[in-house]
Amino acid sequence: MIDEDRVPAIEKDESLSRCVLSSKYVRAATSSDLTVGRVKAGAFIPHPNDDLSVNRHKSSSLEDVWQLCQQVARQTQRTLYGRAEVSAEAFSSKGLVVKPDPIRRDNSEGLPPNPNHAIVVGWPIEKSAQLMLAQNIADGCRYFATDG
Amino acid sequence: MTRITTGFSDAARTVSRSIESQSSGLRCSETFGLDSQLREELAEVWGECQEPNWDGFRGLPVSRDTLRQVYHLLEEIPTGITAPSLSAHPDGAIAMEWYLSKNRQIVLSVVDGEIHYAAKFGANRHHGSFAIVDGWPKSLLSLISKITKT
Repeated sequence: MIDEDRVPAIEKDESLSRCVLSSKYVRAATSSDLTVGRVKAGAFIPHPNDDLSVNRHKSSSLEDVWQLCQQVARQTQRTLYGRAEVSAEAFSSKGLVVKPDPIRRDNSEGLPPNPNHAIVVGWPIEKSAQLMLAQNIADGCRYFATDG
Repeated sequence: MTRITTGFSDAARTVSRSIESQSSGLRCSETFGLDSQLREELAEVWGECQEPNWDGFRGLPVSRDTLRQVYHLLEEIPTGITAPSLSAHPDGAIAMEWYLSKNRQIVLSVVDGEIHYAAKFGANRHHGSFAIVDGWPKSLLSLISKITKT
């Protein structure tokens, strides 16, 4: 995991994961590759406050990545169905900005620490433009189910 | 005591009652209106997304007005267009999606009396918004029909 006192800048080829906490955001597989074409745009619609939470894979094992997703699920009292993996460049190439947003051990909100937390900002205000971006990003991501 | 079931879930009945109570003109039986599978799917979405923070990321709840508008739109999908898959978005919208492939898909987001859409059809990309005035905008239905035609 990233050292919260030495959080590196986001690199364009860095992998990020978006936790999928709703079964409605996942399509049935239509090809032999179970990781492509599975995630709907809804998984990447930013909160109305213009930020989308993701977890960085930087300095983390695959087990760490899954543990962070499980932590998010526990914290939000949701079921983790899987994670949508995407590169930082998938956002930045579309004019969005990925910013490190580590949740420190001593955070005032009492949240479990997550030094790998990042947010994606810079979404257009127009809803349909947001939808188009989310659709494009979802189409390019790879989906890994918790049971796979 | 024997329990008699009709194969129609409590959640779906709740959706129907919710709509009926706010619009007496609607017919919500299994004979008219949405088919039971689509109604069940809408009921599942509604059941999951009524409360604030339903998605764990501070998502806004879906309102009854949005539910009602989506119900009307679903009822009015012409014969020949397949049923969409339904979900909710964190801004309180109900989403309808038709997905045939990466380059033939359209997603609609219905919220606050508006329909926002993003579509891919071959190399073409479309997105835009409509106010819901009197059912489906014709050009949007035409786009859905084109994308979903097999």
